[in-house]
Amino acid sequence: MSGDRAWAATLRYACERPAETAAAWRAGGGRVAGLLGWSAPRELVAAAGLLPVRLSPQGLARQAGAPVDTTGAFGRELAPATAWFAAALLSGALDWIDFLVIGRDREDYTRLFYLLRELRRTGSAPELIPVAFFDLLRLPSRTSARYNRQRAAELTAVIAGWAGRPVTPSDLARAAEAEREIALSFGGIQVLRTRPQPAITGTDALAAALAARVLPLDQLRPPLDAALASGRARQAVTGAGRAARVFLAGSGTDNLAVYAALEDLGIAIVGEDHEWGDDGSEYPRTTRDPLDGIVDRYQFAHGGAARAGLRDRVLATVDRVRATGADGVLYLLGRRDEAAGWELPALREHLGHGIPLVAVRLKDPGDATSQGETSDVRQAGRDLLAVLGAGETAGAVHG
Amino acid sequence: MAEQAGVRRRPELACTQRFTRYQRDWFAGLRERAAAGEPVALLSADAPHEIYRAMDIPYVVVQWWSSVIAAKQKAPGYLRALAAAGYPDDSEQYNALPLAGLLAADDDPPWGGLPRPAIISASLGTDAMRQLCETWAERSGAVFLPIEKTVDPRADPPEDWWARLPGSWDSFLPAERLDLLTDELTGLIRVLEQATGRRFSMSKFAEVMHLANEQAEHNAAARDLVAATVPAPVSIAETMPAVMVPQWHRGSAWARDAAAEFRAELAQRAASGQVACAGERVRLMWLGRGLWSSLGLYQYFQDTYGAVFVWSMYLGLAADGYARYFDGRDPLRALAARFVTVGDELRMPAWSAAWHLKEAVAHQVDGVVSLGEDDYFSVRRLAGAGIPVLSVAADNVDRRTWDEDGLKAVISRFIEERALPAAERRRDAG
Repeated sequence: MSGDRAWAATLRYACERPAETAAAWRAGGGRVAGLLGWSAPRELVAAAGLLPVRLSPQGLARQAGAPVDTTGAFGRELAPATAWFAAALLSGALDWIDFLVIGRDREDYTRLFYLLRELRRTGSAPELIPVAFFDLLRLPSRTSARYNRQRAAELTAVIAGWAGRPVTPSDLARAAEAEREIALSFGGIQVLRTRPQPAITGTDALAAALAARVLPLDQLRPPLDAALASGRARQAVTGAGRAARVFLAGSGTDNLAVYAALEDLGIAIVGEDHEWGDDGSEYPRTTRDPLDGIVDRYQFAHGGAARAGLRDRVLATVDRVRATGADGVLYLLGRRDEAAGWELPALREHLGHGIPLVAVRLKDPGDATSQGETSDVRQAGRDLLAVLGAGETAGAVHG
Repeated sequence: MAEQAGVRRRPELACTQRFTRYQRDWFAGLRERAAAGEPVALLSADAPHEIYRAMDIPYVVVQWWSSVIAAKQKAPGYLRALAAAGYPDDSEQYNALPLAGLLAADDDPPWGGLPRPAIISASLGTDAMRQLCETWAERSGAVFLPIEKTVDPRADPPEDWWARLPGSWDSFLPAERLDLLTDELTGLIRVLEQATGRRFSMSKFAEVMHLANEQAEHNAAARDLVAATVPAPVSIAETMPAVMVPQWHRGSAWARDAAAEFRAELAQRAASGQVACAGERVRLMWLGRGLWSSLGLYQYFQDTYGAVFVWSMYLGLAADGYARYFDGRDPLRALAARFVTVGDELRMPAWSAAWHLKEAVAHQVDGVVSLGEDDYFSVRRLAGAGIPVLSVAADNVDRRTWDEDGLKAVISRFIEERALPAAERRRDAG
């Protein structure tokens, strides 16, 4: 380990302990809105003066160390991690959030919204916190854009009701500006990652992206600035030789251990396009009505494969892979991410022979074999190294 | 490995055989039109067929063709071809089978084979539908015309959709959802006019919509007959094909007349005491997609236990899901109101649980078998009304997930242990 890495510890702590950040915020009299999904618009929550905290069902289950009950009430209807999330929400285990906004990342989340709404409607869950749903449409058409604006305006009104105060265009403009500021930092981090000799690890970059979805801006800025300063001051995180540069695509993972397992092999993770990463390229543009820029950010986001178009997304991924100078692609296939499976052949074809791709199937948290998730990814990393003709160099990539 | 053969159904109605013959003739005609250079569209069940009918663009329904593939026992081989090409064979099987058939390059395809489509259209109601259809379009040279699928985000959507949608759809549904789909349909018509060179006639379209409404009325009357008649005049082994062949021709005079024929034959059977199973002891409901490749399996339980499957979503939806009256209102917006809710009736608990219970009570069912439909609230409501439910995790067209012997065993146990006692309670109460 080189230099002062207090920033890294801060970021990692924030992303691994979202409940503590929320508790501190609430202790100061604030209230917290949990966001489920990349498409739950955090700007609308922040504009209302609430703290938006993105929730990861997989991460929460992992951190709880609890087996995911796939046979419970919703176990057949929802993906295991989502069913675990529903059970945690209903049991009060997530009592550190005051409200929940569900984004329509995937239809599993739509079903979750239906179930929670029905529990409330039928009086079966009187303690359930208020829940709202953002029905984001993803076709790049005028009609979809208009619909998204209507739904975003409705959602803003709901959140304003939660907050007990109006949300003005100025509030929205400030929230959008804050997101632009964060994006600028992540753009800087991406530059450091993609140097000929990467100056920040993929694990640190992912931890920063995860922390940015939890921490209030004033707490996020110092460690992000420190991460950038540290990277700019370093020659490389990859040791003397040239590390194999790998891009992670496909299903999302917020598991830092997955990244660390790959970097332990000497792989430099120079970028990702999954929903938990952040290369600084997506943020609300400045628009006359700030809601316009916020809605467009989500409608045209790269997002996840689910509900996305094939060709546009694949071409965008290929562009991102090439921009990072990656030697190869590791494609993560979530077991419940059907769309990723359909995308994979097209991505392989568009990458061509010059950039090899190795796919690895991720396990559901709670599966009897899920403890082996990092070992499966590590093996896929070894397979990719073999395809690239690169050797395994233990400990060669470190923060 | 030899493909598993399904259990053939025993005919119960005369009209179904006529409908099936019509379907074969129609498909042969469609193949001829395709061979002559006409553009053929492949439409998902949740795409707005009525526009294509009004414009006389020949179309095939994806799910119907998948059921033909399954019935011809071709699905396992086709799914293997899908996997061999690198695509998932465990995702969207019902929608992916026609693409799988294209990749399989079968030299003995069902019914002479599906013509290459010029247009593919589907509503984006599942995670992978867009990727699947884009893949299919690229592989076949077709253009993909996606239709957005919106969600009802209201905190308390009213339940009784079946009663209020036909006449009051414009006040019952959120305006934003109708606005969007109406706009999309307007754009679709323009695209189709440009792609095919055909004109869209509003008066022709209105006629198509009227015919579809009349067809729904006949189906509702037929459904009511089945529900009220004990023993049942017919089982779902018969009603599934008898309803769905005309359904895929919805908006045509033939389909309206076929539905009238179906209703009339049922009425005649009910009046004369002709029944599906003379020794009917148990009435069952089938939730989820049907076993198109083994329709005779339903009749096995009639023969073995006197257990008649009297309800499936096919006649249920044909009765309750399609009518949208538009007197004095925009028929295109009425069509949007027909399609904006497709799937909500079955998978949005506020609607599905209420509807399933209403239909179960009306049909006097003693038990429910649910295949691949994990609807917690439907199960809870049905169970709360004293109607036992058996849930089976399987995909109807993917025989790797079920076989006849396994289903016979699990459903037989359910009938013996839970449905028969419920039937006895029903009779005692009656």
